[in-house]
This record gives sequence, C-alpha cells and structure tokens, in this order.
Amino acid sequence: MPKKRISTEDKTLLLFKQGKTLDEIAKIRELVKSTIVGHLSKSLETQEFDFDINKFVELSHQELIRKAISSVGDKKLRDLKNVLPEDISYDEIELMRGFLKKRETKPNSNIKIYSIDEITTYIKNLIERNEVLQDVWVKGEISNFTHYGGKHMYFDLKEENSIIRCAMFYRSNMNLEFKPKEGMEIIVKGHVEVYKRRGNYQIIVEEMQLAGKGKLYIKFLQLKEKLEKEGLFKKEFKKPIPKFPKVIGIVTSLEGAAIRDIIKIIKRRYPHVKILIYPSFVQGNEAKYTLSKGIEILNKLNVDVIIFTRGGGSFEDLWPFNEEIIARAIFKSTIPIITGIGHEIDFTIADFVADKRAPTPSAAAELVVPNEIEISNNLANFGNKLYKYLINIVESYKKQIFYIQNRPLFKRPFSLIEQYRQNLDEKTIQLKQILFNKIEIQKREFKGFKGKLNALSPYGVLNRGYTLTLKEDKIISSIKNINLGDVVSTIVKDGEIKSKIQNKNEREII
Amino acid sequence: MKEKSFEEALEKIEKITEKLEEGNLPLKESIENFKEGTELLKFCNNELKEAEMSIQKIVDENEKIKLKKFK
Repeated sequence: MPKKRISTEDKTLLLFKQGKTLDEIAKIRELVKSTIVGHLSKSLETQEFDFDINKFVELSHQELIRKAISSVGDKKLRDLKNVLPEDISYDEIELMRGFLKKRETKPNSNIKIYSIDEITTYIKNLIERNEVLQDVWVKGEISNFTHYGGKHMYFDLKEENSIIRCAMFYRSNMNLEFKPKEGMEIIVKGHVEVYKRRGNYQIIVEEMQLAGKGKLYIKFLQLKEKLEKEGLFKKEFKKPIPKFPKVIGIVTSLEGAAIRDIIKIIKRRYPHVKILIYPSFVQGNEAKYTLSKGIEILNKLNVDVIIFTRGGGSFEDLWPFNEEIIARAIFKSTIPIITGIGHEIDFTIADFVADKRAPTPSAAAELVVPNEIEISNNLANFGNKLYKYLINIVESYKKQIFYIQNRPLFKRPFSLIEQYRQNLDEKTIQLKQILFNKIEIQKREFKGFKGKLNALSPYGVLNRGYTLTLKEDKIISSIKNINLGDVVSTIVKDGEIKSKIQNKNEREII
Repeated sequence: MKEKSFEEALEKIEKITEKLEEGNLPLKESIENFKEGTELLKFCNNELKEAEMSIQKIVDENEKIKLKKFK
C-alpha cells in the first residue's frame, strides 16, 4: 500500500541513495537512462540528498553549462544544448540544471525581499489601521510653517527633543479662527498618515486650536463629536419655527444688553406678542442648571417658541452653553428653540442642537417675529394685485358688452325692420301701379263704349234735324198711342215744344 | 328671467346678434330675438355694475380695517 504513494522520481532516488549507478537504476526500473536522469534532476530541485556533481559532469563542462544557463535561461534543454559544445550531453546539462536550481533556492528559502513600495505600504497599513493613531490630540509649537498659495498648510509640531510633520488641508483650515504663526503653541486634532513619497509620517490636522483654550476646547470638540454621533444635530429633529408666534419665551439673564435688545426689537417688529422671560445665570457654574431649568419651565407654559440667548463673552464665559445637560434639555424640548449666543463667530453645542441658530441675540429676535410693517405692506401689495385682477376682469367684460352694444343692430335697432318696411313700400307701389293700370284700361274701354252709345242714342238724331215726341215722358212711336186733344212734348236739338193734338191721319210711312 | 350666469348670457347675446345681423329671420322672430338680446344686455350690464360695487365694497371695508389698525 505505501508503495503506491511513492512517486516514480522517489523510486529512482531510493535506488540512487542505495548507491546504484544510473545505468543500474535504468536496468532495474526498466527505463531508459535519460528518464532516470530526469527523475534525479527533479529530485535535486526539491529534495536534500548527497549528490556529487563532479561524478556526473566534468568540471570544465560545469562552468560552460552554468554560463549557458545564465545567458539563455534554463527553461528548455534543447536551447542549452544548441549553445553548448557537442561533447556535452543532454544528461550532463539536465543534471547540472537540477543541481544549480537546488543551490539557488536553498539559501533564500526563508527570506522575503520587499520592494520599497511593499514595505512602505506595510508600514502605512500598520499606522493607518491603528485606532489610537487615527484620532489623536497633540500639543506642540509650530515651526517651518508654510501656507502654499493660501491653500494647504504644512508645518512641524515640535517640543524639546521631538518633532512631527503636520499638514492641514484647505477644507480643514478654511474656517480657522486665527492665523497660525511660527512659534505658536497649539493643539491639533488629527490622524497620522504615512507619506509614501517621502517615506515619512505626518499628522493630517483636522482641527487646530490655540493651546491657551486647551482643555475646554477639547472637551467641546469631544462632546460635539459624541452628540453628533448620537444624532442630536440631525436636521430631521429640527422643529419648524412658527411664523406668527403669540407667546415667546426667553431664557437669559435679566442683566446685560441682550435681553433689552431683544425686547426692543420684538416690540418694534411685532408689538402684539406676549413675552415670558425665565431669568437665568448665563455664566459660571450654576448657569447650566438654571439655563436647562428655563427650557423645562417654558415647555410647561405653552409658549410658541423659546429664545435661548446671551450676549458676547469669552470662550469660558460662553462655556455653560457647551454643557451636555443644556444640549439634552434643548433636544428634549417640544417647543422650537432659537439660539442667539455671543457673537457671530461663536458656535456652541447649544447652537448645534437648537432648531435654529441666530448669530447674535438681536438676530434671534429678528428671526423669532415677523416684521408687521413688512407683512402689511405685503398684504397691501397682494390686495392691490387682487383688486387689479378683478377690475381687469370687469373691464374686459365691459369692453365686450360695449362692443356688442355698439354694433349696428343695437345702435340702430330700426334697421332691423327697415328691410321689411322697404319691402312693404315696394309692394305698395307695385300694387298701386297695378290698380292704376287697371283703371286706365277701363277708362279707355269706357270711352269707346260711350262713342258707341252716343251713336245709338235717340238724342243723336236730334242733331240731324229729327225730333222726338213724348206723351207723358213716353215716346210716341205709333199713331195709335195718341188721341185728339192730348198734350205732347216735342223735343228738338235745342228745346221742347208743347202742342195740342188737333188732327191725326193714319197712313203707312215705313 | 330664469337663473343664468353672466357668461351664459354674454354667449347668448353673441349668438342672437349674429343671427339678427344675418337677417334671415321672419319679422316676428326678429323682434322676439331682439327683445331677448336687449334684455340680456341689460342683465349683463347690471351684473357688471353689481360686481364693481361689491369689489368697491370689499376694498372699502379693508381700508377701514387698515385704518383702524394703524391709527
């Protein structure tokens, strides 16, 4: 069973170690000699055993092969054979190659050689992954200060026997409250980095403070960091400031200009508001308690907004506003809080937690109430606009109606029936014409008729000398109609003759 | 006249005017339309007058408030 695990090279090596010659091993293993040489060469590379190269490769050949390997490499036997004299065999080359490889690797096997970059990166990682070195406060004196192009600052921080390189980049130094100068005693907060190009380490400074403020300032920064991590400064917790407060609470000292300024400004801008003041210490050891108590009390008094304020002072004077108890009280307040602490450049913890920070007490007063005159002006403006808008609508309708009323139809409404009248007139004339014509025709007809009638009239014959004789207005047309003694009328052209009948003779006339 | 809006009335006036100006209506209908148009015009004029008056009233009332406040 164990035999199975033994490799073919190891079998050869075993025989070799027993003192067999290469030819003997080839015979025993029933392999060609070159294969046995290959096994042995491989074993030389990987294992330790007694092997005298001189027994297998001539000394002069050894040197030649060594040179050939260094010029063409040892990858391919054929390449080596080609550059070597004919009398050096493949076996010699192969054994020599294995022998040299073993010599080469053996002494170096436990040593790692680093490149400069590798070792520097290693050091860099050691330093930059170290928690302590990533958040350090260091105090020292500035030397070799440079401020290239007003951007990044480079300097050494030194004390008697030590020095450390520092860099403060623009994004960190742009808000610096003072100008660092040679010889200044400062405290920096930062992290240590390795600068590969120079192979040195340096502090990348995030914050810098004059050493005078020292401990308090560090305390301030630490608390700020802590509360920030807790989320006390988060925007989502900021309560909106009411636009039109009815009652304003103020926590501040009754002495000092701050409260007077605030009241003056509020009264001027928005006189109807009620002000509740919680008098408090604003500096000293007691201040933090009375200040936080003020917030608590005003929360119970239903004020709409709280001004948390004090006038200007030194960093130490303003210190109570950097106390954790104050931060907690502000955060807990259900009523929105505006801070106005010190001057514009002063930032306190209270400012960060507050719902709104005003740079000064006066600014806080201006923020807390609207300007009534401004409002009424705005309203008046708005009212004017609204009025103009309405008037415009009305005016445009008026125009529309005016236009309609001025159209001919409404301006001269009788024109509406004029056409009918005209039509009627025309018809009347036509009708008259027709009648007139008719009458004319009849007149003419009548004339003709009259002529005819004249011709037929008994009077017609009178003109021709004939007479008519009437008895009692009846024409006497026969002798039989007359008796003797009758009075008759004879009508001539120009008169009437009365006569008495004396005689009558009947005879044939016609 | 039944309840109607100013805009409706105005629209109707336009229609009536057009119809009358075309002049294809029988006399009786013309007169009826003319009568309606005139009445609508009167209605619109009144509406406008009332609107103006109410605007003025609102403005006056506001003036009063303002004066009272800033006296």
